[in-house]
Amino acid sequence: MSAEPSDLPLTPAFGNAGEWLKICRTRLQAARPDAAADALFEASRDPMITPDLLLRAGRMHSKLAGEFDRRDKYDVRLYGQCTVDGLADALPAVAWRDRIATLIDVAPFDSVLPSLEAAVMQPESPGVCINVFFPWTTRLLAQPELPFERRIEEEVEFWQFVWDVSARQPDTRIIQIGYDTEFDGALGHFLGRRDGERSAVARLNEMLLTHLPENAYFVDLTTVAAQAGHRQFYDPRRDHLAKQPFSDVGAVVIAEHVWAGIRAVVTGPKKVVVTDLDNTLWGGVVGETGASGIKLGDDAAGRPFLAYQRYLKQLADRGCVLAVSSKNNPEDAREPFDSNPMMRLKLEDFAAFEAGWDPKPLALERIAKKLSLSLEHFVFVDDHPAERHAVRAALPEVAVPELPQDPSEYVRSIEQGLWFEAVRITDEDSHRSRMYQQQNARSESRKRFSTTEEYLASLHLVGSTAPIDDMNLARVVQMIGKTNQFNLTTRRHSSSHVKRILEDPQSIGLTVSIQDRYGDYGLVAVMLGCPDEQDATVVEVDTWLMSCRVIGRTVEHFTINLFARQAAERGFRAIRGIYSPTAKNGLVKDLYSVLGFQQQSVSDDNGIVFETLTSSIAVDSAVAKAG
Amino acid sequence: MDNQWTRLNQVFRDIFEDDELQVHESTTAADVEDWDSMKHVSLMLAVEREFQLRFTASEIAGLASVGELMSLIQSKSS
Repeated sequence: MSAEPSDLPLTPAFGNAGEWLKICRTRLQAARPDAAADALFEASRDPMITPDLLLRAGRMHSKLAGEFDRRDKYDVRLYGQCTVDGLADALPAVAWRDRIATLIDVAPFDSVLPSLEAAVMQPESPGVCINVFFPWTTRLLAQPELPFERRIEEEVEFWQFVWDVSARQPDTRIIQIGYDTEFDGALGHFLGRRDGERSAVARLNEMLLTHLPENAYFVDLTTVAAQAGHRQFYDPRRDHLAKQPFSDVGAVVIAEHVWAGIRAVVTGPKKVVVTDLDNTLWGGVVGETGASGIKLGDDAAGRPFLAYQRYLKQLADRGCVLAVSSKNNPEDAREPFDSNPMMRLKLEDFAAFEAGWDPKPLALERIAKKLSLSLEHFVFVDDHPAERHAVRAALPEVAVPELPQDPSEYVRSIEQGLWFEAVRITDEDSHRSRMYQQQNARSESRKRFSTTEEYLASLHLVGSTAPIDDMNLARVVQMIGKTNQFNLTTRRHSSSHVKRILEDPQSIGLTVSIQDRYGDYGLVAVMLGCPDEQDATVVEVDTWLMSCRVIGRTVEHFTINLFARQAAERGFRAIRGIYSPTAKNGLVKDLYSVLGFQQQSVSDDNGIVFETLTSSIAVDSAVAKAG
Repeated sequence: MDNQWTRLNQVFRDIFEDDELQVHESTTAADVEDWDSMKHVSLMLAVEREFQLRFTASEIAGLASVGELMSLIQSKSS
């Protein structure tokens, strides 16, 4: 594949994803976004694509996404209690397999509620909006002194509050991911027992499902991880490096399920399966062997087809409509249904039966007309690559799964497409959901948070402060070097530079450590202040940064109050703050204005300079002072 | 030796989607646009795949320059 292909192949090329990504990059550089998007489509739907390449495809798609009209895009916001960047990378590539462009927005690490509250204040975007909530077991497993029952309740209460906030934007759909544990833990399989961690996770998922809002989709992470294989799904090293527990493999698998969920809540599950007959519903060609000669017995040649028929029967029982499209003489095609006793499906299981010699796209259009269902609800299953090719070319809205050569894998490869994911399934289900809604109403009487303040109060945040000293200098310098989001000036000082600043007794160097009822966050905030060289009554905030783990918990209010007190003790009349914009610190661009500082000027290096009187600083914070 | 630098440079070009990118011993994260902590992890996993070796979490977190990365690759592949 050295030359640039001019036309798209209609059948996915196997193992060429890397080449297609290169082509995509070349086309992007040549300012041909549409052609680049086509190359990206080929890369994304390559069945052999490796996880790292799929993530790269997703990142390239996010670059391309600016080229598409916003109304055609799905707005997807990811809120994670763990790092979810891998999912943010994989999801656009997975969605692009269906030719849907996505615009992904990732909330900062573990700031689900504050980020969500900020987002619901914004006007809703015109297209499809989806909130994806990704919990992690950090808090569930962090407080052994509380019984699991209580901890499970707390987690569910938290998500119920999140769902309520999310519902303030009524057109935003919810994808709720479930809980899972990465490790078996010290007790091994004993954790599956009633009082073990695995059992706690299972009960928590059950409770979440029970309370899940109508029309939200639930991704059962425990099952998804098990299907993909725990050991390759989770990556402890990635967890320790970046707080993302899942690997690239995990990211891809989660993205596929989240995307199936989005399809389910936006367009609903596929409604029609159109199946071929020869070598698809049974083995062999009925026109040649006769109805009794087809492979459908209880042996290795026949069982795969029996399994496929059983699978179709299950789909039909769930309300999916079945239809046949076969190139056969009509009498030959029907005969096995009448005369072969092994057939699991009967003619009456099919709502439409197209047997003849017309091209299959024509047959599908006739079926759609007969059923009054549009083709976007159709899945077309055929063992013959040329037929799949023809349908993809003529009817791009029809889903056409790639079938493997071995019929034993038919069911698995159709299942992997997740075409039939539903939010609600049967009458019995909706009856059950009504039952759940009543339970819901009862649990309303239990304590619920109606404001963020109440929620923060329930966390029992406690803060302590210490000057920058030899004990914490290494941690402080590490944070100075790494913090990107909550960092007002992003000045990357060395430890010797920090020491030099602090040699002046008038300068201020303070750190803040935070605990809440769920655990100890450790040192999370740093402020450095130096007296102004011209005006000794003014202290300038050289550095102010905070770990993203405590964003949205009013720790910054606690910190500026401490800073102001120290400034007052040193006799400073006023505090000057600078916001130096970078690509990553947009989060804090309004911080000084919100705290009551007045904007003064713009400095030489584009920093925005603010000032306020030391005595005027007194901000409410949910953080209580330790001791 | 030069070959290793060529291979390493190609990994950088692939990860940062930039065919012009040229890294040197003294290159650091500050010199490359988009080289944040998540990209760093993706980059290191790609280096592992290219050179068929494995880093520990603390090795990945502790690297300060591309020169250090190359020394680490050489110490692991010799």
